[in-house]
Amino acid sequence: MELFNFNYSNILLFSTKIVFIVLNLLFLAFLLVVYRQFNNMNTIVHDMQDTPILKSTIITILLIAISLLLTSLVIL
Amino acid sequence: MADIFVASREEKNAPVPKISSDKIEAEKSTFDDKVHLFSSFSLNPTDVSFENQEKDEKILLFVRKSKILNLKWIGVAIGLTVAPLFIIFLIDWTLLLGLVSFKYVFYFAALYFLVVVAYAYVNFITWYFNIALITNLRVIDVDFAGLIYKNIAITKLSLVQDVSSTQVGVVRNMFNYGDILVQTAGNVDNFIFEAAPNPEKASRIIENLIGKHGTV
Repeated sequence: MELFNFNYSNILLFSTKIVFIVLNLLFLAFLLVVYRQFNNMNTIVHDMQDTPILKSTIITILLIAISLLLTSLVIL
Repeated sequence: MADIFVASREEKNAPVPKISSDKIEAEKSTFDDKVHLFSSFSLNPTDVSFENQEKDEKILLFVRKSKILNLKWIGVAIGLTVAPLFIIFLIDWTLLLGLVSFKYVFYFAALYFLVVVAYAYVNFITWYFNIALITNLRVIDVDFAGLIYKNIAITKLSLVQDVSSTQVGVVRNMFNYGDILVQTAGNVDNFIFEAAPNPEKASRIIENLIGKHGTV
């Protein structure tokens, strides 16, 4: 009989958490590809003025994504 | 002996007319030589360098696709940023917060906006790294699309045979951008600089360069 006393709301929350974490991991992997491609292209054509701006932007996005992942592990 | 012409005292003391430095700069070039983040056409850029650049090689022309082409993804990014504001009014919040807690909604919103920022960034660097460079020795075409496609084509100026530019359509004529076709000799593929700003001026510069090399 205990089989039918399943708490469906807990399963929903747990699966939501898993989905968010997987999404965040995929997004993080995508950002790493972007960062790598940016570095590759930047070695081919290099602009002294723009490189720091674009590099800091992608690093900021990466850091925010990592912090979001850590947040999802802690608070969700 | 009688003098033929004697300048009056006023004429002798008259100051020599000077051309202002602004005028000289304006006459020198209508385009600046500094490449900034949003430059799409630059003559003699000083801050740009590329892989395998030779010591005596100087970049004469730097071309990206026209800035106008960025409007599409900028519009999409703005739309994606504004869309949640409309959704806020459409959603029944009491029902939603009854199902999931607020932290889930907040987390999803944060992830969503970060994805939008990443979308804008990827589109920007796709435009940013699509570059055509004309140096005093070579023609270089860097194609970069969708993060996974990358093509770098290089040919010597001595192999360039002909240059032509096409501007088809109202928008292209209005914003003065078009395609530049650089035809090369032998087995080397032709170069197409798509949606380049000032195509006539760019093709004229390349024409002058290949004229110097005596291939035409």
